Amino acid sequence: MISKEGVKYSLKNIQHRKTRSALTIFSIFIGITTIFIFISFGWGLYDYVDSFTTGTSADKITVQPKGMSAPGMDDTFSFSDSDFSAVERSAGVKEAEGMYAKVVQAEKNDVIKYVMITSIDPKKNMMAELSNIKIIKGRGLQTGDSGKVVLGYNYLLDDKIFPNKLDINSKITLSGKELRVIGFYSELGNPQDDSNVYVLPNTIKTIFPNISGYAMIIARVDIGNINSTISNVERNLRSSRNVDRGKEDFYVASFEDLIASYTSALDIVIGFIILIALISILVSSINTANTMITSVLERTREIGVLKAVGAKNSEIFNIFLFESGFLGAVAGTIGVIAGFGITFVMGQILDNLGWGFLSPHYSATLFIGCIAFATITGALSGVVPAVNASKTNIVEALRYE
Amino acid sequence: MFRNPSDVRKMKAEYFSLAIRNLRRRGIRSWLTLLGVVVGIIAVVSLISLGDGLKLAVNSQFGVSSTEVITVQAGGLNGYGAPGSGVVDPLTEDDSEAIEKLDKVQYAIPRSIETIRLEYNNKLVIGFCTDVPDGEKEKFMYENVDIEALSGRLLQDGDTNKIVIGYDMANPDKNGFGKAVSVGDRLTINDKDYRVVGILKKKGSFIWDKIILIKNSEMKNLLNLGKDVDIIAVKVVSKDFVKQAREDIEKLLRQRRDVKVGQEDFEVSTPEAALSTVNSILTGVQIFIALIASISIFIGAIGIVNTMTTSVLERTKEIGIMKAIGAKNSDIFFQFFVEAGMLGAVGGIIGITVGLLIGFVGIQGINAFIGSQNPFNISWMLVSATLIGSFLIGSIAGIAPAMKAANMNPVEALRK
Repeated sequence: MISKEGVKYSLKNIQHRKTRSALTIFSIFIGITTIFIFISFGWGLYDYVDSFTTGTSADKITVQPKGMSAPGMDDTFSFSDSDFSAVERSAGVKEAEGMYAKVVQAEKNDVIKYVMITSIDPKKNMMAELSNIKIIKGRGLQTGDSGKVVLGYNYLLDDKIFPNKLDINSKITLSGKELRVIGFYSELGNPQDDSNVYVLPNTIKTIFPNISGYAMIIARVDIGNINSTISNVERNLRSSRNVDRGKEDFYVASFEDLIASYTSALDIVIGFIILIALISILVSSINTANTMITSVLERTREIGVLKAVGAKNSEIFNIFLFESGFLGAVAGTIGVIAGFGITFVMGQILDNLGWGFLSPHYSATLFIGCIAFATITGALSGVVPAVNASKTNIVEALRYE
Repeated sequence: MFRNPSDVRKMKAEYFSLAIRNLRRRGIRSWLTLLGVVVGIIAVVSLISLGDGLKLAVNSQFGVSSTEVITVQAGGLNGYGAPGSGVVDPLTEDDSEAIEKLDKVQYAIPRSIETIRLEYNNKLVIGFCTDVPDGEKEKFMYENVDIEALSGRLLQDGDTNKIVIGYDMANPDKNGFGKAVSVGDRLTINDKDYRVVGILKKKGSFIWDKIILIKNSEMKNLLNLGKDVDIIAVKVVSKDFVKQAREDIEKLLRQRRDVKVGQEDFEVSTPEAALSTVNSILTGVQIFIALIASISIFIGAIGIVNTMTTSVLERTKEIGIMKAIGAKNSDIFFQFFVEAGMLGAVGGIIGITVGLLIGFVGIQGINAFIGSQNPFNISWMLVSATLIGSFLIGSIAGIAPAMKAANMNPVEALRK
């Protein structure tokens, strides 16, 4: 361990070289701020994804057709009523809901937008549980609510979908059919899903008389036996759709599986960005090493004197290592504070843009981790100069000019 | 160091040799400063050239060569799936015929892209097929998307129960069947058997290398398509009339679909327009990544400031002597200024070389991965901008320390 005097001596030296210490700290702090920003937003994205796997979504499985497009956009392989009952009667399935989904033309005051329309069975309403959304204004759909529509969060905002926000009892025209708005769902945090509109199955059939079948089936299952339930559903669907094993034109996945596939893509993107940001840390540690080398050179004589009056090699080593570690720690602290300020402001801006899923994550681990990382890289950059300092030959050092 | 005052006057020409000598004198520290700049520049140059390569690769996916072609699509959530899949009120063959009657239009070809179940070797793959028109339009389509048969032949008028498959669909490692498909083999599409009569040459495009081509009439029978079409490809009589043809088509479709100006439920676009949307997104991503990487160049520049500040301090006495024997403030300033600029420029040269090398290797990697043959183009814009930029960054980093050196009081400097 470093002695109290050693610490004092180090701090005095840092003060003595004000400009250079400040520049070194500046270079580390910029790197740390960058890293902080990306980790904070990256972590926030994982939080967003996690928010789906917990709570009400965990006991759901989804059955979707294979194909090239998102559900509801390509109806080549939709599910028939007999497919639906095959799912419903599978062992382990508590209840199931077949969802119709289509792209629809939404019109309000001559402004036209294209959005997804999804059917909701008011008795089951598994879609809301799956996506973790609630009614935040008005009421949800009930049996007999034909001609009525519940809208996604973005319809509550001006200039988001339509120039003017909609309200309860507003009228909206969906592919030629005028419907009355009765409620709004809470925010999902991404522009696509927050533009969805929801109606009863009968309403969607009046808008699209030729709709071919369900775009997706959601089932509530026994949470303890998800895997065996999935294979039951697969077996029943194979026989109802008359396809052999290995030739399925559909896939059944627990909600967790679906999320896992998104998470692995997320890993790659976030990992790549942080890797690039780490380059700046590399450059700043080169700078720190440079500063420390200079500092050792300048103090060669001083080191000689210290050794002559009895300082051990390990003490000299500790003094210099402490110095570079301290620079790192100060820079890390400033970097984290700056990072917090920037992510906070950016988070507010993104939220106002309707990109609520991009919100920063703050936790003690993140703050302490970044400071610790800065301290350790600072100390590591100081190792070689510190070793050089400790190995200085007393006689030569005293003679050095 | 300087024998007489006249040497000092020659100094202007000697800024560079002096700078090199001073840099070498500080050995390891100069190298470290240089390394910092080099790492930053490598990151930026390699990421930008990789991004350029990726753009080429993505553009080659479109595989459309002609500029006289306009595409017409119905309105919907386009861009989330195959053309036509997110459409609300589809276009029809009648629309296509009406478009063809316009003055400035040579052909209008209704096209469909459909998802299908493919079976072979007892395995099922979900793929997609597109139709081939008859007669002159067939020839036009082959030329426009630039396809040729690698083995066998392309489809001809009157071909029944015959298909042509994309390059990757023949490859056992890529087609999902686990077995090679050759000319003469039978594939089952939606429970109906088809004989492969040709395999397309590799296009290096995800879409065209996995496509199944089928004659228009066959596809209609197979899939019960009716009159709806996914997209209408329009050939304009000549390049000069693209704009006018586009306006005519818009006017015609507004009439046919009974919509007002500004409320169109369809899109008429040229291939360049589609490409430029994709390119602007890619450029955005590229700029974002280059910006993050540039932070490391900035930090490298701070390293230069730091080294130069130290260097001025170390050479205080030297500066005093130079001033005493007649060096002007500007001489001193330029000596340090050139030294810093050189750190930047040398860092730039090394960084650009290594960065381009990484970009080159990366593009070979992309080519091997998606099977394209995109050349590696050295962007001289990038090279010269980086070179000038790195010299500027170095010089700017040197300004403050150089001014400090230039303004030193010789008496005090000598006393140090």
